Amino acid sequence: MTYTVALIGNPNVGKSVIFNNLVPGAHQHVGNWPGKTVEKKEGKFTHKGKQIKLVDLPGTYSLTAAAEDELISRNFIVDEKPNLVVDIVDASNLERNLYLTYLLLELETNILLVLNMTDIAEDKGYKIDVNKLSFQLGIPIISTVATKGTGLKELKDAILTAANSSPQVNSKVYYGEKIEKLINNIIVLLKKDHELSQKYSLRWLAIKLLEKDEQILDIIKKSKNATELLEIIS
Amino acid sequence: MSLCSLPSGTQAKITKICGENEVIRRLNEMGFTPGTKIKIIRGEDLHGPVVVEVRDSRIVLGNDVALKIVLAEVE
Repeated sequence: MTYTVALIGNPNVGKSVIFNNLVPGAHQHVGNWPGKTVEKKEGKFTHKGKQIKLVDLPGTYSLTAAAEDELISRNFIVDEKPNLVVDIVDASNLERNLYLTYLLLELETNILLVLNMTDIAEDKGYKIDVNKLSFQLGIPIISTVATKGTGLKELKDAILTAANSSPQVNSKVYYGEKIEKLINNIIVLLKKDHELSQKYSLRWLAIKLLEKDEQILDIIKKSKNATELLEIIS
Repeated sequence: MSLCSLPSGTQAKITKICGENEVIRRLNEMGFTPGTKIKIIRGEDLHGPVVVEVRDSRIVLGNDVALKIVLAEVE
């Protein structure tokens, strides 16, 4: 079988360097996302006898429905359900980069975190406790300096291991008693719709509904219990 | 204090972001949250875009969006 692995990250984190390193140029396929003017890059590589299809998602800071490139990434993760999402972050700017990581955690997808540019982080005097970060986020982490080729062999191993395992119990953002109660009320109603329960993480759906996300509102309007659900958020 | 009226090099702290939910969320996502310090890289443009440094990144903001960010002086 072929594992499908998506690469995601903020702009300028070295995502392309990592993609080009994992998939040599001749094996890359560059096109467009169907019906969009956003570039789609994908390619295959083999590691330890296993074939991996790597899809490069657009570099974004967020995953809202308002921006085309963000929606492409989000829809790919939700609809195609890749075996693994490799989230590449700039280790020298964790605060900004981990925002996207938390959005991915909320999607309850299988994540491998890559701390890239660890050399720059060190130059800045940052000491990152990788084990502690991994424990707190509940996802595996690997450190790299892609431009120097450091850690890329380990990354291939880690991709294979992570793609082969099911998502761990990810850490969740706690939104406070009031909102958590609303989330739970929404989940109870969403659970009654079998189709939704199968396709989506219901907690994610509930949070997006509370955010009045355009795409999710459209989905909910067509679902069972639409009236009750829309009443909760009005 | 508005972001568009400050000269380049000024440092300030965000106190509030005004406007519609969509604008507030977008600015939050880019790192503009209340309490965060920013630095004007290229400012004093009352009509055109301004360049701002926030959380180690430089971001260009259109004039209309920049006006939504309310600032206070940093001591």
